[in-house]
Amino acid sequence: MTTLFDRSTTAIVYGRKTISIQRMLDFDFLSGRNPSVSVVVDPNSSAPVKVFFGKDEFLLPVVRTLNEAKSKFPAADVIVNFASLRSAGAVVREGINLNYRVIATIAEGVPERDSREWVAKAKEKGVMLIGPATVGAVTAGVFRVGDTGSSNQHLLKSKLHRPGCVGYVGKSGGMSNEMYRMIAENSSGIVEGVAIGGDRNPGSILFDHLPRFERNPDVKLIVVTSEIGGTDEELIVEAIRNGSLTKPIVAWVSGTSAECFPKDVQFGHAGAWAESEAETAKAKNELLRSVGVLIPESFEGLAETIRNAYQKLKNEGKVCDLMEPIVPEIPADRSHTHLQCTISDDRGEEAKYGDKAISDFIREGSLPKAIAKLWWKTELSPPTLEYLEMILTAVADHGPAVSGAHNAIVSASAGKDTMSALCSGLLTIGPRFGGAVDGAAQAFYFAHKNGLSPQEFVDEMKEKGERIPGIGHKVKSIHNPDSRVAELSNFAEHNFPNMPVTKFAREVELITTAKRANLILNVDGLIGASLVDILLPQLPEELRESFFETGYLNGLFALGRSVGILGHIFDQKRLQTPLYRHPQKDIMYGEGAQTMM
Amino acid sequence: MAQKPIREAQAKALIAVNWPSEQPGRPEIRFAAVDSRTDLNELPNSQPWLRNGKIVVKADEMFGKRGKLGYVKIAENWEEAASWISDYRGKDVMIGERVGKLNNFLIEPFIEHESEYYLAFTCEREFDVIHFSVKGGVDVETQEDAIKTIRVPLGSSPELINTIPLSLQPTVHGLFQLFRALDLPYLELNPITEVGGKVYLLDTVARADTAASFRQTKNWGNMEVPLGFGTEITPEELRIKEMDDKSGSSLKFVLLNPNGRIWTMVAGGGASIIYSDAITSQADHKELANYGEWSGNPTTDEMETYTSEILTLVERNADKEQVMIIGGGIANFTDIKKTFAGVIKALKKHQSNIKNLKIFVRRAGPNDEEGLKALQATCDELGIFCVTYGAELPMTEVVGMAVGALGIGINKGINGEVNSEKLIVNSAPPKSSNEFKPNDPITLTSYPPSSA
Repeated sequence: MTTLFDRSTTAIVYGRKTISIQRMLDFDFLSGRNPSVSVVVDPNSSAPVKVFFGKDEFLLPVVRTLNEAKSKFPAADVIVNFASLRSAGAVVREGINLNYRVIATIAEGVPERDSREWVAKAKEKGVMLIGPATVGAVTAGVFRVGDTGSSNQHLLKSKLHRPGCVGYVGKSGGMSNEMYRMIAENSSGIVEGVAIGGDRNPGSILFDHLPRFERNPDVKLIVVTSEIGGTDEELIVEAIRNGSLTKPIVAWVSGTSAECFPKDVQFGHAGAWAESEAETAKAKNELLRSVGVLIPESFEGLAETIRNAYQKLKNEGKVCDLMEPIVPEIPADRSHTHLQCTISDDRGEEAKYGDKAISDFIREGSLPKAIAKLWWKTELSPPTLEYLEMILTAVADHGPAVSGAHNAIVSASAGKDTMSALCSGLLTIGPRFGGAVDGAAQAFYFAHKNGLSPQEFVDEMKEKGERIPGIGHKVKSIHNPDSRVAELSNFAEHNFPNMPVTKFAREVELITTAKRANLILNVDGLIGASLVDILLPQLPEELRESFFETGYLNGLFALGRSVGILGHIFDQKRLQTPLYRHPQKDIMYGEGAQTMM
Repeated sequence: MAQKPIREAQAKALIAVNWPSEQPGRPEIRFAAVDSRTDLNELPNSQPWLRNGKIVVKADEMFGKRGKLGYVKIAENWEEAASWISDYRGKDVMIGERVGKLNNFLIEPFIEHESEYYLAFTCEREFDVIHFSVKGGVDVETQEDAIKTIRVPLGSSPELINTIPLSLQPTVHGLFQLFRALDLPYLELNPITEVGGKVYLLDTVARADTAASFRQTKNWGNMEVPLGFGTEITPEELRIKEMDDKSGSSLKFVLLNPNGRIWTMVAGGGASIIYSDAITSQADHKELANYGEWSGNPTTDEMETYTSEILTLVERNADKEQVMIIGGGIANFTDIKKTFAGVIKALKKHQSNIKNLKIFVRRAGPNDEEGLKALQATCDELGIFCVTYGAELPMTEVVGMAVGALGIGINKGINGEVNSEKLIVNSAPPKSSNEFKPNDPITLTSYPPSSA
């Protein structure tokens, strides 16, 4: 490859930089290639990013770690690293270890020792580093790093959507864009452009990019802009002298004003200061001029120097005029959608659950099948469906005294409508009532996964002073077992041979019931543990990651219990119960007996 | 955020405080630092060794060749040292072409010694480099052949050569570790000497990488990296610096000459250098009032404060003709409309005192058309002369216009001769136009002499 990127290059963007990602995708669209961003890494959230490709909106996946990005998107070999200056180093080191081919780092203010260490490691592994403290690089019509090239309007004017004949490398990220425009206006535009960044020890130096331009037959002219500070130019001069750089080069080193300043002025670039006479702008311009590099009298003459050099190549027949490609249009009024749905679709002839028509579900007549599709976007094995139905049945009601039913009864008696009463009942479902299913599942799952023995797990919970979710019952005990648990358990054991988490929960129960007879595995605990064994492995991978946080299992409880709550509400309506008022003698006022003395 | 020289006292304090406890060869470090507020009568009470005979006093202002220049004093006793300090403290002195105040001094016990070694640690791209010479001292530059260098790959330990006396090697190892661990890209000890089995750092020069300050808080303590000799910070610079420190964007401002008539607000580290070059080549460099740079998409509020601080300085010479160049290349991601909204707010706030200011704008990037239009409209409304251009105008062309407006253009010919040339701006300000061609003489009767 004689360019940094090709039209199939894809990248990982580290950091949720939506605008920059959109700029990359717009560039792809305008260049007529497929999207170049595979995945975004955001350590704080895996919520996907909404982006456009042309006029069409789509979701870009987000993962939490670079490792995960690498394993899921092995073809992406470029990292566009937007991490802050404090974490940029860790990303670069990990990227080098994972053998990424190109890593471009945007952050400014990376300590010099860090970037020097990156350089040493990257060299060992043959990784090309760009930056830090830059906007990146661009291969015209092929691939753009981040914000390189500005808005769509500007990138088209700078002809970045199609290759020209100039290889450009410079220090400043901001100036690179100005230079792309200058080159486009005075020649056929760039083939590739790199801004190495304004630091004293950038990941790659100016010279690192020149042999590639020399090898690339499409590059006819090289343009270099540099600044006061550093000695990169000596390598360029050496390469020209020994004949390894033969193409015409136009260059300019800025920073002649440094000598005029009456006091210490640190330019905006950390590397822009001269440690010796040889590092001054004047000395470097003269050195480059001495080996035939085309150096204008000042920056203001740079455009003309490029124009003349290009004209000369044209006169020699080495370059010819280009046919401008037809550029697809991006609508100006794109706006992101506010709602998003990935489980069902009512746009066609017939509405669908997932990818399947509702009528199919109706014909099959199974509610758990619809649940599987709408909740988990999948299909489940027949015994699993059956088991889910048993769970829904088991949790449908538990008499009028429990919180949910009681609240619903009180609301219905107060004359509230059915929906309000149902809501008041459902609102009680939480960590203490019915909502222990997810908690229990999570606790048993992680204890088992982390290799704790049941005894260690019990000890650990005791040490933390926490109740073990899914263990214990108000009324039931080993002497008076919960028949719901027995039935579910019985079915599960016969149909699912491998239930390690449930087995673990049962062993925990042996320990806890040895202490107190009512510390049994309750219905929440059994449902939680068994569904981790039965349901979790059947779910799509991206759903499994957030299995516990999403609250699916409490959802099952809420769904089943709605049946019972509605029953209680209808019951009260039929009975025309008057407004409920709690008896005073059942309330302790103040501190109780003491305050009455 | 770059390498910055620190004071000798700071360098020695860093070495003394951070010397690895398990590392032998710890140098003898004893000093008292004096600044503009130090009570010289009180000092020997807290540092009784100052009364124990001969002491050395040095100006500690980050310039070299102090012995030759007369800023080192070997005093027989404390009284002599104190009176020498009193003579110099607070005085302006000229070092090279730069004038600055002597405020900081370093006092150390005088060490009678014979050998003078030269030891320095520097950074190359892929190596840390140790330089050593047995012929250290003031003229080490003239003895380059005697300097031996050891290049140590990053991450490896150095293998010292036998040119370095065995007894000195543990100290060299320790200093090398500190050079790495403290993010000092440059550390020079010249001379370093041994007396009676103890090592003394007779002179120390160091630079700190200020980009590392976020992770050096423990090692560096509350060290304040000095601004440099002859550089005193003004309240405006300080306020902008404090804003910059807190911002994710970059907002830099250095006041070069408060009476200069050319003010700049240039965006981008690279472009700001090129604008400085253009100004100092087209006008007397004393006319350049400031160096500055803003980039990284600052907020509207930040831009308002930044502009406002600069306009406060412009107002000090409100009756004088002055120009402001708001320049920059084609931004990659800085939003021109949003950032210019801050400039506009500041202009409105200061409108009554900046009637003699002419503003020249060249800036492009996301939302540039709207930003430029809004700025032009505001200036027209406030009656402030302003021209605005986008990418259609070569980047530094506004410099010629601004210099021309002041009538202070100079033409530095190829042979270095300087021709004055009075440039006059037409009374009607030019409007931005996409049809503008650099060679069209649309606004000026004559033009920056770059093509002359």
